[in-house]
Amino acid sequence: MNDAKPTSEYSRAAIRKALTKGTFTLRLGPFSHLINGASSPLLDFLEDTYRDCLVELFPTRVTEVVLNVKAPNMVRRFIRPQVTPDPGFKVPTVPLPRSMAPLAFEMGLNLSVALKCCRFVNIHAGVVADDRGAVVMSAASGSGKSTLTAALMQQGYRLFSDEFALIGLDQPELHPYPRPISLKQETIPIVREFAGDDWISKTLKGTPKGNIAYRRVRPSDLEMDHLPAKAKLLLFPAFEGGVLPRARKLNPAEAMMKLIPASTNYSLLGEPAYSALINLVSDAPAYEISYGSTEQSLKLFDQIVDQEGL
Amino acid sequence: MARDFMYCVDPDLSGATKLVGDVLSAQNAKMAAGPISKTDLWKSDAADWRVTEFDDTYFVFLRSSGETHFLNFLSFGILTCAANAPVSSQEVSTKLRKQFQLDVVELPESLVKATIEQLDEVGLLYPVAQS
Repeated sequence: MNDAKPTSEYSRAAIRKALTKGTFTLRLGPFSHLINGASSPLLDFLEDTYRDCLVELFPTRVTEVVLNVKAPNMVRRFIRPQVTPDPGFKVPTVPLPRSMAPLAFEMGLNLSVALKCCRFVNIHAGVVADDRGAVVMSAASGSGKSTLTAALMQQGYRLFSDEFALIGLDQPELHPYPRPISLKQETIPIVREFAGDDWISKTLKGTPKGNIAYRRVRPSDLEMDHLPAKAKLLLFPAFEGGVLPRARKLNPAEAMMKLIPASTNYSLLGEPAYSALINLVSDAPAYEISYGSTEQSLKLFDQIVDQEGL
Repeated sequence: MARDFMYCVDPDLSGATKLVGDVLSAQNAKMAAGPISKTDLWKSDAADWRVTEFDDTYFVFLRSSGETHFLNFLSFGILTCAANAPVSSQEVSTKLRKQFQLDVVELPESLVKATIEQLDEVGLLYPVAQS
């Protein structure tokens, strides 16, 4: 039974009711997410940023991610209201003002997938793909990964994820999980300029990570969110202001050494994760790139793609 | 094998989750109790590892601990020496000098002993009682 429809096709009252009851089910890529927590900021965010994503108001399949965006205590439901993500296991989270419910929601989804979902090897990485394969961009926060991911979308790549490379345990393939791209501080106007206003969410100001906005996922990315792809390139980007752009090819061992600590569940999965990553680094060339602007990163990317015949 | 984990969680994944502690069960804790002597014998269990070689470096996945180790040619050479039958550090040194065409200065037994200690610490080698 498939009753899922885009969020935009439901009334606000119906979405609010499902969120209050905890039956709102968001389907994205390989996961179904059961969401609880009706607040106006979260409703606004879902209606805007997730408007094209398939949802159900009552779950019809097993849900892997269960997230409750709730007040940390009774007092904070009413006085200076706050919210915190509860993914069903204990995690250290800082309560946020209710106006930042979208951030709590996104953090909660990240935690759930990172620490609870073991059908894939999860790597903290941005992933885009074309018909020749997927590009995995693994880096710490602040390295320009999200900006590069958004820029490559603009060049025609489809979005797999801005946060997770999900690598199959049986087949060495990457699985799409296209959620909105999280943009921080000065990257917001950069992406707004090339993506256009309509694709960027309202900016959340003064969050613990500064100003945050989200680049919405395109319907075309969502339509193809069930189609995996083999990796064609592994990139380890590093943004440094004023640096001369450079690219260095890594040997597979170096790539492996970078991917293992970037995985959120490698140690938990053990040997299947080892096999999956060995296959990944054996099949796809890996590069470390340093750059000082989005233009430079795209130029380096094009050079590598040309050089490797990708 | 049962394992205990302690995670350091970054709530918004600005850095990936880091494994900061990894406590192995007592089953895997067969370590030498003190300094290594020339006559101590060492063994490794080849059925317990899975190896991938990349340009003279080796990734070794140890099934019993679930840990992945990155070894150079010397460490991996010691591991393979001890895979068939228990060997002493002296025997390993002699064998590896021959295998890699090195002399005593280039591969002193002290280096082999120090490496054996490290391999023992992570569970890739274990001491065996002399009969």
